[in-house]
Amino acid sequence: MNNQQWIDGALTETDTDYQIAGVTFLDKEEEVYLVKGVELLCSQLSPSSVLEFGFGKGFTSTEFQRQGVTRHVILEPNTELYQAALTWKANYSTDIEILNIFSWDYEGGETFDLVYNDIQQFTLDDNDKHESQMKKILPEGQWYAGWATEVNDRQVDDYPIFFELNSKLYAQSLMKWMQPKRFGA
Amino acid sequence: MPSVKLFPNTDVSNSPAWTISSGSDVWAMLDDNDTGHISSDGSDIEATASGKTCIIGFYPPVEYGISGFGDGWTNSLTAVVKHNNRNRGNSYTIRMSMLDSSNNEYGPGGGLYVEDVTQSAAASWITTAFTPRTTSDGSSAWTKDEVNTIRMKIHLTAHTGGTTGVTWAYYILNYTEPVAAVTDNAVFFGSNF
Repeated sequence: MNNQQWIDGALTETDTDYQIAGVTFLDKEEEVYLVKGVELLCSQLSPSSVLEFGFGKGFTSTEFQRQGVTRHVILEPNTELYQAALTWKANYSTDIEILNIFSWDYEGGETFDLVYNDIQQFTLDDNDKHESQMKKILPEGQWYAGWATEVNDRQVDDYPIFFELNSKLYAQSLMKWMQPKRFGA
Repeated sequence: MPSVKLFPNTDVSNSPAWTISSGSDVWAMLDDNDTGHISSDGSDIEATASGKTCIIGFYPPVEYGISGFGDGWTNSLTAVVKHNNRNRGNSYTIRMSMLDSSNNEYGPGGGLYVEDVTQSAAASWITTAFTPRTTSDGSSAWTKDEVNTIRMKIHLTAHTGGTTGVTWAYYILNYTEPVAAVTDNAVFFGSNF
């Protein structure tokens, strides 16, 4: 898949996941621990402003709003999901801005308490483009979170927030941008 | 009981090859921690498909100032591998094998000191410490020569997408220096017992 296919692709739902142009971007089972991760992020950092990459089905965006975020910029490049995000936005009176662009097209110019990266990569270059742009626009030490993921143990770099659900261990990733902290250090 | 990390110092093989991010030596990518943020690590090996396999050798304990290291010193050997795939939604499996100097797998009957770690994509490096092994074959203590020549195979057996990287690999040697025997008539602090 190329980026234009991602922009134009239609949303489909299966019993187990959500897809754009036939490519899974979100497993349904992720919802519970992605949302829990955001809850814990907000509990720890109490962010009032959040830059979020990827709206998807809006699970994490909704949780950020529930946690009291008042300035919320969300980037969603897929046209259908972007429209869904605009509809979602109408439910809130806070300062929410939805942009229909990829993360590497975001020019910055605003500071945020937290950057939450949940982009789906569709080409091997996507991460490089994303991170290259982040190096331009984010200050070193910016609180920068990714998605929560299941882990086997607690030997994870940076500042992960660990939690358990249904007897499984998860790590909500959290780092200071370009200031890595090594496990055990 | 003291412990020391044994770091890689030689390539045995790299086929099907992992991509080496800098230079031409796998071991040189794996002999120290990541060089910076996960997005810009300049010292790792990477793969975009499963099957990649490398075998590396390690410095012997004497290189870490453990003079006189010998048979009966080793309490355990623990393999450690630091890895990541930051392409959301993907997963991978790394198979680590403890090998002897002829690339035979250690463990009872051979082949049992082979362990998998399966991991979903994450935004940070993840370190996996495999099971500490107190014997080379299930019953016999590690010998000096076995520790001095131990190797490690790192095999990407599954990979659903994105890029999987490995940035650090080593063994933790936990050891005990044997207490020297004191005989009845040995001179000790200038006195005969």
